[in-house]
Amino acid sequence: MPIIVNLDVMMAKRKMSLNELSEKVEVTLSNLSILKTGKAKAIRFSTLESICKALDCQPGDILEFREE
Amino acid sequence: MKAEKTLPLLQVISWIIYIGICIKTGTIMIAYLISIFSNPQAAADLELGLNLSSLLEFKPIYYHLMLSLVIGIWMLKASIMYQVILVFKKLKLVQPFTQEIYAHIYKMSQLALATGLLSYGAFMYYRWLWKLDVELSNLQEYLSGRTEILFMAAILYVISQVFKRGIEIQSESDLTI
Repeated sequence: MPIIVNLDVMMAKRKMSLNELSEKVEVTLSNLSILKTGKAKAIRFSTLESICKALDCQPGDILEFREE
Repeated sequence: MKAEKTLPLLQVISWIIYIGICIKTGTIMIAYLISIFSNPQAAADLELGLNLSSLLEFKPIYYHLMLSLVIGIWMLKASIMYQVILVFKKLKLVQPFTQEIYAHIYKMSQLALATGLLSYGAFMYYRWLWKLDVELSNLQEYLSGRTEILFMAAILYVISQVFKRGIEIQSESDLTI
């Protein structure tokens, strides 16, 4: 898929673990893992908003379009 | 949830129908085997008054062909019912769209198509024998419902395709974070 999820990069920049993020955004660890590994097919605006709030970043920092 | 409570009930009803069909098929099969190997008079009462003794006397090969068709049709009907049982057993209304349920519904549509076509073939054969003036008692009862079964096959095929799409939508929904 040409949409790349850079959640791990942002988490590393903010030095935040998956557990910590999971607690802050109230999304289960397994769902965050699906998102992090790029297996997710879609992301809700509400989830994106929570992640951006927790990581203090913009949606563009998490999602990236790269042509295949 | 009301629908969830009705599923076990439907499963029990399906089991009863399935056992009924199996008994009917088994009775015809056993009577047929007896009529071939030990007592030809068994052809006079194969199952609940099904009398094909005239056909056996007329030409045994016609008798064998007709009984093979009747037994085949009823075995297929039993297989359809078994698939229905499996659907009710595996169906979970929380996540109904699974590959397994799709496979069972698709198989049911194929079995129904085979049953319908075989019933049509058997009915045409029955009419041909009738023109030859062979007495076939109430055989027509055993070949009834062919158009309905073919129509059911088409409906089941459509339902299976809806399920296929449902599986895709459900997997997308599962992977939406």
